[in-house]
Amino acid sequence: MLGAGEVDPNVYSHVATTEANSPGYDPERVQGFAWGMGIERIAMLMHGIPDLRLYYENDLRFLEQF
Amino acid sequence: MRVPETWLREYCDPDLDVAGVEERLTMTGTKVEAIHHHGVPSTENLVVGRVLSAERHPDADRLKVCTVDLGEESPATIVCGAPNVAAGQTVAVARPGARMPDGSKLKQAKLRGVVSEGMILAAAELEIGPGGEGIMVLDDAMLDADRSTDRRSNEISDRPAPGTPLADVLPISTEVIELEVTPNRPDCLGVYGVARELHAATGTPLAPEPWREDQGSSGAVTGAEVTVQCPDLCPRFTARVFENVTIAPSPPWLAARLSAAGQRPINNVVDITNYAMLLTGQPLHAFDLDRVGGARLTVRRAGAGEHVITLDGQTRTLDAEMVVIEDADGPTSIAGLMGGERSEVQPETTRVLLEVANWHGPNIHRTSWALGLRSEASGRFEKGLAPEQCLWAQAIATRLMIECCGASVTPGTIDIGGEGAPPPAIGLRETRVRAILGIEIPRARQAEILNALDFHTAEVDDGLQATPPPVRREDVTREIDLIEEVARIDGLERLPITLPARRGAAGRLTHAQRVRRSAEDALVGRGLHEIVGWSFAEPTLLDRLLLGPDHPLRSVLRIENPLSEDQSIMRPTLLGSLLDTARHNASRGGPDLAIFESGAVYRAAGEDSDGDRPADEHHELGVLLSGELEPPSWRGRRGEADFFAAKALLGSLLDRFHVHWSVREAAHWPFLHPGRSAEIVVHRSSAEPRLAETGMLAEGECLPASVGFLGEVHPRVAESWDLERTATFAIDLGILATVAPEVVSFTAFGPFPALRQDLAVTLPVEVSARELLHLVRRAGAEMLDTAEIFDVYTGAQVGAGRRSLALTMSFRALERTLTDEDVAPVRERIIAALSELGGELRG
Repeated sequence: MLGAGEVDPNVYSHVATTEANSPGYDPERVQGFAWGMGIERIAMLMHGIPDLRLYYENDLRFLEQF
Repeated sequence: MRVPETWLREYCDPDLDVAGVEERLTMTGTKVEAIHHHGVPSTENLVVGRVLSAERHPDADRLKVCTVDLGEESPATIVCGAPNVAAGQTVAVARPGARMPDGSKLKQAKLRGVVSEGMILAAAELEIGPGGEGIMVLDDAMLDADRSTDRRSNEISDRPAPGTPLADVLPISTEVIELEVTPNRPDCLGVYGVARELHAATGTPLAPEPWREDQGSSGAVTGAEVTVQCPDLCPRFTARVFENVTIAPSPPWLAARLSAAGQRPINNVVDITNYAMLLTGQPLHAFDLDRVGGARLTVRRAGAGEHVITLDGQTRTLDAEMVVIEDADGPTSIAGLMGGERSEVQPETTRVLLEVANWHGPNIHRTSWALGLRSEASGRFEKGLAPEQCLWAQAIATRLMIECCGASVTPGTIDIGGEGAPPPAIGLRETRVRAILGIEIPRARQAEILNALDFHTAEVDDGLQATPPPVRREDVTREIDLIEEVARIDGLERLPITLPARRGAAGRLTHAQRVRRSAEDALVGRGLHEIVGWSFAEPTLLDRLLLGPDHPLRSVLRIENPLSEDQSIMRPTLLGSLLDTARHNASRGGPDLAIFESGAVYRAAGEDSDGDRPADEHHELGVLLSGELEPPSWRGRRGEADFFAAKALLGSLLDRFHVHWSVREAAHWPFLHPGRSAEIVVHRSSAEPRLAETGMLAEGECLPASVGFLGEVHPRVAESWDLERTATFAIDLGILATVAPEVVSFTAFGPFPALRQDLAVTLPVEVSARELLHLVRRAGAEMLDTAEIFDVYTGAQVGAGRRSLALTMSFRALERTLTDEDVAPVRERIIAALSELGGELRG
């Protein structure tokens, strides 16, 4: 449904900062979270839609219901 | 990975039902995909029986009437059709009332006049073995391996007593836990690895590793020889030799476990390799040693173009980065993927060479991808197993080869490469655990968790030093990885819930996003349906849109590694998905539809008239109207989806954003009807907007920007999508957003009424309405408020090549009411300007 977690410290060393030749953020000082969800799945639960493919068929009989 | 619950509980048996096990595994990071049931739905009325007699049925040649001791006072009479039933056998019996795996209930039956009080079962009837001839005979070797070993060592009765519940001696009913194992955890592709997770997640004791006692030995082996020429791709190769092997069906307990785990039982040797793999995670391969040329195996890189016939009978062509195993007669297997036909175990095999090797994961992945060949083994090797696992699998297989195949193991083990480098110890600072997790986990608890996961720990000043077990050496290399282990086992669900401070964290949509949403809402409000298409498109779309070889829309971004040819370019226009959707619906719901899509379109980097152009992605809004605009009614037709219908819709949309727009003839779009298409232009102006509209600005001050196209779809294009008359427009919402004012400024209007005058003029037909109005507005200057064309006439009275246009104009001044005299000079200027275009005033 929804992946969430703490950002891997390796990511920070790849974050460019404004300073020239910056090695990126220091993971000893910076930490953060990331999460994200597929809106299709939320909508499936909310509207009782049985199949993800319905979203991409663009059948008017489907579209007209929303 | 399918883990039979009964098998799992042999190593870790928490006081939880299967749902509880599922919950703990999922919460600690080993996701349970599904729980299946395997075998009979209920173990009732299934018992062990002993056949006391088996006589020919008086009225049927193929049936036997048996008396079977079921542990009760008098034996039961059972009619049996199996050819192998005989007095003295211990068998599995279903009594009336027993439920079979398909859910059916067994009833007492009369067979050719003899009442049968049950059924003697075959392995397939219990879903614990292949369908074969005859009933399953339960002698001691066929029962649970551990139990039979115990019994033999105690030298007591070798068979279960009649009447014993069958479930006590055979795994005839189990739940199967299907796990989604992430690629970093190949150790969880073995039942024992999962048991260790369950042990850590529940605190329930874990049985010792089942490979701890090894009946094999180390040292040199006589009778077989192995050479590894590419140790970079084969870190470890181990092999053992077994003699006096008898190939036979596997004992029921083994067949039952494999069946429940989703592996088809084949014969004892093959089943043992699969069993050892499912338990340890490590694949094995059995060679018929007498069919290995020269009793010698060489592991080497393949020659480019070399062929191997694999077990599935297919000839595979290899390249120089793939690894083969060959004997004196040539290649026999593709390393890590599939064995060869030539040295496969046969029914008459008596000597087995058991290979357990470790392969370089990325190389196996590459080979598997390149050959389009995936196997259970390659799916494991490609994730990177630990070299240590080789001997685990050898130990399990050796025990079973001795017990189930009557084999003897030749002393010694061929072992090339040996164990991997010991994993280094990693520091785990207490302060860091607290900083990352936000809670205190006592040092002792951290150590307990890591020890349960088979890490070694030692205490140091600022925390712990932890050494991962070999199977985790690729996965756990940093302090943060240790913290993850501690956190997931201690329970992420136990972390407190806090909300971040939200000072200054308010978000809002950008202007461009608001324009986009407003445009979409406007179209929905006009009764259109929004569709969503794929960004990937088919290259033939460009041909079907009749785009010439040099058309700018031909410079598409190509996908480097497309899933298929029909998804190999990034779409340069929304028209493809709009037309596809129109066709899909026309064939299902009828031809009338009004749809739009709002999405990104792409163009490749390249050169154009302005020089280098970077790759471009912008947000486009595309509309498609087809068929009748409204359903037929008694009030008449509203009309078809034509140029004017599309233009009206475009106008209602653009006017909403207060942009100054116009359309002009253009032939840039070959997919549009040549006579019914136009370019949409919006006017950027740094000056007062009304001036731009009146055309008072010089060209440089009023920059027209092309934002898209409008028109009817070319009949040939419409036809190739099986559509009739279809109109469309598309605009670049990015440009629209830059032109649309974020805040509309008020324009003053005076209290004085406008003066309205009409004008009829004949003009050559080449003069467009746009040109005419542009000129009129320019000549009318500030005093002219509006000018519109309200009638068009062509015919004999105006002459060939000309047409008559009727204009209505209103004049207005801020400070006074205008009179005809005030307007007269302006009117003269307009008429003069018209005559420049060849216009003549009509009487």
